[in-house]
Amino acid sequence: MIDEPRSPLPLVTFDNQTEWNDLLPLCNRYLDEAGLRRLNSCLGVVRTVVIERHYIDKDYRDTFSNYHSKRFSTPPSRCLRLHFFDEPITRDQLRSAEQIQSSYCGYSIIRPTRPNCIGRTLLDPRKLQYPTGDLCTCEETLSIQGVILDVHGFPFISQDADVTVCAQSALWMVLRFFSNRYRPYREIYPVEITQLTRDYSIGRMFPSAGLTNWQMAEVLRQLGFSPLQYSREGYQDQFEHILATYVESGVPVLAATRKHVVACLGRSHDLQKQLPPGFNQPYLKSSFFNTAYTINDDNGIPYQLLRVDNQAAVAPMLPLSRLQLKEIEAFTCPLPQRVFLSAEQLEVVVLELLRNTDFRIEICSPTLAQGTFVIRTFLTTGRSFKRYLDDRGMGHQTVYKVYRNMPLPHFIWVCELSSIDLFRQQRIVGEVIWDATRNVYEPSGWLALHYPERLYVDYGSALNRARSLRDFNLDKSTDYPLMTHNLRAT
Amino acid sequence: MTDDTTLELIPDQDQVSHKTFEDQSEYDAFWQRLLDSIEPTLEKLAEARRQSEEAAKRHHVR
Repeated sequence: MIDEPRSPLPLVTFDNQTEWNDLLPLCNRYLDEAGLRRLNSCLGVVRTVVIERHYIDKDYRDTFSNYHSKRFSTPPSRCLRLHFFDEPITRDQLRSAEQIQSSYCGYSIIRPTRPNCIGRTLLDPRKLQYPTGDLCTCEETLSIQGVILDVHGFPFISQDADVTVCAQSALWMVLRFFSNRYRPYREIYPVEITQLTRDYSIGRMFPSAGLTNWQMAEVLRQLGFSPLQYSREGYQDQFEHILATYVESGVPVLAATRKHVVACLGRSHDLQKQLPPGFNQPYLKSSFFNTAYTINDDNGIPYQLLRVDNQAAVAPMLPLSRLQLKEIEAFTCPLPQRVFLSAEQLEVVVLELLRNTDFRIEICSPTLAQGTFVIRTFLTTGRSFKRYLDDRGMGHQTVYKVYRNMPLPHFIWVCELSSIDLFRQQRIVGEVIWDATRNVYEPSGWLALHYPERLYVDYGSALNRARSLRDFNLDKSTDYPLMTHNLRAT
Repeated sequence: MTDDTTLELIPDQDQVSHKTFEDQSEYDAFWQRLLDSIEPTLEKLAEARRQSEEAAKRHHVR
C-alpha cells in the first residue's frame, strides 16, 4: 500500500500489492535499480519505508556545493531520505515516537548521483536478518517531521566516484563514527577529507583518483588522531592479530587490499572452535577464535563479513564480502592521541612478564599454570573500566576495592587472563592493566597484575610517586565475566 | 594528616598487602632485566613499523 504518493512524505507498506520495486517511480531521479538492489539485499526485514522528500543532506550538500554545482550538467541539490521500519506503520503512528521507535531500523540518504546513489546511511545491525558480529557502534538522533527517533549503528556511505572514491568513503565512515560517539572529535564532510591531503598530494584533487595509505593517515593526524600504519609484509604472522586487537578495543581501522580500502568495525567469533591437532603452546591469543571481521565496504552493503578463511564456520545466508582477510595487505589504525603504547609493543612486554620473569605464571599462579592460558588484549578508558567493576565483581573483593580506588590514566591497556575452558564461557580469572601513556622502554608501565592467587599493584605508577610494588594475597578468588563493552553485541 | 607518600588504596586492609621488593634497587634491577630481554623483539617491531610506513607512501587505493 502506498499512502499519499504525491505528498512530501509518502509511506510505502509492503503487502500483496506493493513491493520494493514500487519505490523506484516514487524515488524518481534519485534511487536507481542498483541502489534498490543494495538496500533490498540488507533490508529484507523491512515492512514500511517512509520517503522523506526534499531532504537537505549535509554531506551531499558539501560535495554538491564544492563540485557538482560547478558542472554544466547539474544534479538536484536535495536528496531523499528513506526511513525503514520492520513493522507496518500508519501515518497516525508516525506522529508518535513511542509507537514507532521499537520498529525503526534506520535511514539511508538517496543522492541524485550516479553510478552510486546510496549516501549517508545508518542502520541498526540488530534489526537486520543476518548476523553482523560484535561491532563498534554510535548513536544518532533524528527527526521525521518533528518526531524524534534514535538509531544505533556504524555509518555507511557509498562513493560518488567524483569527490569521493573508496578512500574518502572509508575515511568518512570511520570519522563519522568518532564524531558521533566521542565529543572531542568534530564532524567532517567529504570535501574536507580530500582537502586535508592538499599538502601531501601531487596534481589535482578533484575528481579524486584515490589516496595512498599515507595520505589517509595524514588526514587522521590533522584531525587529532595518532594514526599507526601496519603492513602484512612488515608484521607478517602478527598482522592479523594486531588488527584483531584494535577492533577488540572498539577502534575501527582502515583495512586496505591491493587497490581498495574498507572500514573494519567488528568481529565474529566461534568460542567452540577446536584447537589445531597436537596443540601444545603455553598460551593462546583470543583472536584465534575469530571467524570473520565486519566491514563497511562502500561498494557493497553495510556490515558485510570478511572471512578469516574459507573454512570458517559461518551460517548460510550471510552477506559475505567478496573480499577475504588474507587480501588485506595493510591497515591504518586511528589511535587516540593519548595512546602512546601500541598493541604489539604492549603484548611483547606483557608476555615476557607472564612467562619469563619473577612474576611469571609458573611461579605465581598455580591455577593458570595448569594448562594453556588465554590472553585477550584491548584498549579501554579508565572510566569505562571502572564503570563495569560492580557488574563484573573482579573475582575478589580486594581486587574490586583496589581497582575502584586506584587512579587510572585516560587510556589503559588490559590483558585479560583465562583458561581455554573458561574463555569459551566468556569468563576470566585475572588481568594485567598497563598505562597506555607509557613508553615501552620505560620501567613500571604496569599498574596491576592480577592472578587468581595474588594481586600486584605498582603504587608508584598508580599514585605518580617513586616505584613501589605491593602484593595482596587473594583467598577464594572466583572467575568473573570478561569486559565486553568496547563492542556492541548484535 | 595524610600526604601522597602514605596514601593506601585499601586503607582498612593495609595488613593484607606488603612490599614485594624491600630494596628499591631490586625492583629497578627487575625492570632492567625485563627491558633488556625484550629489546631484540622491540627492535624487530621498530623495523616492521618503518617498513609499514614506507609501504604506506606507495600503497594507493581508490
